[in-house]
Amino acid sequence: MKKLKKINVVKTSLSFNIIAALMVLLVVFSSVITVIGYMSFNNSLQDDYDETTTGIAKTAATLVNGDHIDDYLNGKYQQEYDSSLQRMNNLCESMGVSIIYVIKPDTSDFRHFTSVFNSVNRVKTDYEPWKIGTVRETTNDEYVNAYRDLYDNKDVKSIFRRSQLNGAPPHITSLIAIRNSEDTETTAILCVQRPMSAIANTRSSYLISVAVSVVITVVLAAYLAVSYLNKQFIKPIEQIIGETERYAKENTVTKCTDLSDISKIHEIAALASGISKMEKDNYEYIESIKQITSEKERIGTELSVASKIQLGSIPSKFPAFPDRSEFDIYALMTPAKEVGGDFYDFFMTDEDHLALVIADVSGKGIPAALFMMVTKMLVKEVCTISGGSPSEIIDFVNDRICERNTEDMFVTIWFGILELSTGKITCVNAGHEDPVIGKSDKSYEVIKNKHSLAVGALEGIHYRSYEMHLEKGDKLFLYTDGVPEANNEHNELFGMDRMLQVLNETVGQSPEAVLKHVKDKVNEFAGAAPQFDDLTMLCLEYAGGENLNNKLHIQAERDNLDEVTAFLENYLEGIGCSMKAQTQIILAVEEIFINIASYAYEQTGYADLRLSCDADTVTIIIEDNGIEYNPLKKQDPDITLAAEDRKIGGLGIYMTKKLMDDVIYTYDDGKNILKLIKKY
Amino acid sequence: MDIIKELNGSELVMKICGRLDTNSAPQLEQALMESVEGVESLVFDLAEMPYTSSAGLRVFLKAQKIMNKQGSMKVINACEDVMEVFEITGFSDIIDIQ
Repeated sequence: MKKLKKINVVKTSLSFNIIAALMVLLVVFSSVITVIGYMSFNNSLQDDYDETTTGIAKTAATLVNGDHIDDYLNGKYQQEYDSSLQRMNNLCESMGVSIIYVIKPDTSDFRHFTSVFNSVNRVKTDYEPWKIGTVRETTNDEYVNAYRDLYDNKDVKSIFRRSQLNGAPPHITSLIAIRNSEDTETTAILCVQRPMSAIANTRSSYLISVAVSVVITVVLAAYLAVSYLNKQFIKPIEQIIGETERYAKENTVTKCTDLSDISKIHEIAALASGISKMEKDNYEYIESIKQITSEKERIGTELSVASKIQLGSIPSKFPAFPDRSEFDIYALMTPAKEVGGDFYDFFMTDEDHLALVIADVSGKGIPAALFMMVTKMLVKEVCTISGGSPSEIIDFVNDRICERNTEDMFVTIWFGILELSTGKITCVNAGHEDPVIGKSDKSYEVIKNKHSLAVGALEGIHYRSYEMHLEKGDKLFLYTDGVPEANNEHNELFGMDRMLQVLNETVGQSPEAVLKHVKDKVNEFAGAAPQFDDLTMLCLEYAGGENLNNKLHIQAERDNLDEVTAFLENYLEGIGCSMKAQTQIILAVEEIFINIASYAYEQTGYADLRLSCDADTVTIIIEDNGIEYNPLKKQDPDITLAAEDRKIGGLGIYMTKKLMDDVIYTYDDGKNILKLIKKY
Repeated sequence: MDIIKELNGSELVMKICGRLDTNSAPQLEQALMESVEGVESLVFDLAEMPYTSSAGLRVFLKAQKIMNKQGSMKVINACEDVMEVFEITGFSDIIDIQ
């Protein structure tokens, strides 16, 4: 708005200024013309007047006899004097001059003179003629000098009196010397005084006509200039301003005023077409910016969804295995961009094996993320569906990825399978950072091993596996290069040494606390430097495979009985259960497990065993998802019958009831749940 | 589980070494069916058998039914836990346990 207001001020002052300046210019110009014209007119008029008056003076001078001046003053030649005066009076009247007079100055200082002839035109003036012999004083130096010059026989110019002087109206006085007949001496001075009223009248009529024509010219010129400027300059400018204001307000080109033919002035036309073009370009630019912005927003939204999908694809719920007591696991992934090329994964391949994956795809952003998803899926699906050793699995994954690796991308993978019962890790390192193990009683240490090629680099190669061992309380730390290669504002790397040092500060902490500490330290180190690479870490604490195993999820098949028995023995020995109670519990569980294996499922299914104990009792919970069946409702067999009459069915349940201190059946959430309680 | 068979004329002694459970019972049943023909006195020596489940009992019952027709059968050296099983199930009443 401020800008528009400013334009408004310029707009009003523009037309005003132009017209005013134009008027002032015309007035000044015409005034100069008038003054110059008036001056040259005045000069030539005066010259002409001077010449005529001098002519009259010369004519009058012929009427005076220069030899008899003194005689006239002495009263001699009265007749001649009267005749001369008479002719002078006639001349005075006929020539229309005010006064013709002849004086004889006092040649000692020329300040006094004696009047000789004095002829006054009564029509022109009301002077009282001087009598002959009247002596007057001359105060005006101009006259004094003129008299002296005439007596020195010099030429004298007429004297102009332009303003009133001593009551006399403006007039011209031409002076001429009266000489004696031998022309040797000036004997008197003849003056012709002629009024200037005629010249003044001519002058004022000249001035009026000039002024009138100047005013007319100025007004006409101003009118023409204003209408021309108005049409070709001011109106177009206003139109341009109007259009720019409209554009600024509406920001559209659909109602665009056509400015193409707005003015014949080249600059204005160029300005108008420039503005038109600018508006159109600007509009198109804004439209394209809008499009780009909405495109960007769409991509942003898609990226954020992609980011959610990616983060959703990796296990991120912790604790991940609340029912497993052999290990605790935690992992973190912080992509540098919305989506990243790093990933971690972990999953049980069977009851005793935990697969661990950490990987880093070459490059970043969406391509890396797509590659990452493919790799992640392949590893897990191959592992869970076809199984095999880690090297076989990575061989297969590598071949599959190489098959259609159009962009020649690759992924470094560390893949290991931890046998929970023993702590043995069989692993493959396809070009990834070496894992770090923190022994429960020592500091963290990088477990170096010869790396194989990154996955995706070369088809058909065989990956070598190697083994590591975890003892109870050990921690396995897996990471991507984002950790040691995190850099700060001074381009220093976080480095392996610092990473190990930070890990060593976490002795005795849970995997979650370890990773959070490392992440905090990396962030602290990086400071304001932008995160350059994805930051991915996984930490596993191994709690040992023995004595703590109190849960078993197992396929309900007769062949698995030994495993169930081993599981029970392991636990019961661990809690110090008596041999007798052990045997009884194992017997009872066998009967129940075989029952489930035989009858619960049409095809096959699982049985879950959970063991717990307090000071003197052990509780065994056996669950299955098979058909609902309450074994406690089965009628007890008659154990008094003779052998021939005995039936074998029902003995198992009967024994279970007899051997256990309590047996409780419930059916809940589609599960048969049998709880056995036994004092040990 | 191992089964050691000793045949003295018409007397067969089957020594069961190991646990007799659902998985091993069919083995005992098979061994019994292979050897029981013509036997008049069948002895199960359970000194080395710490455990039996209902699957084992089923074999003992089957043996008892066969021997009721062709002679006699007895169980010797049963340990305490196994004995308890025989007693709970009333097998101690139909099988000669010494």
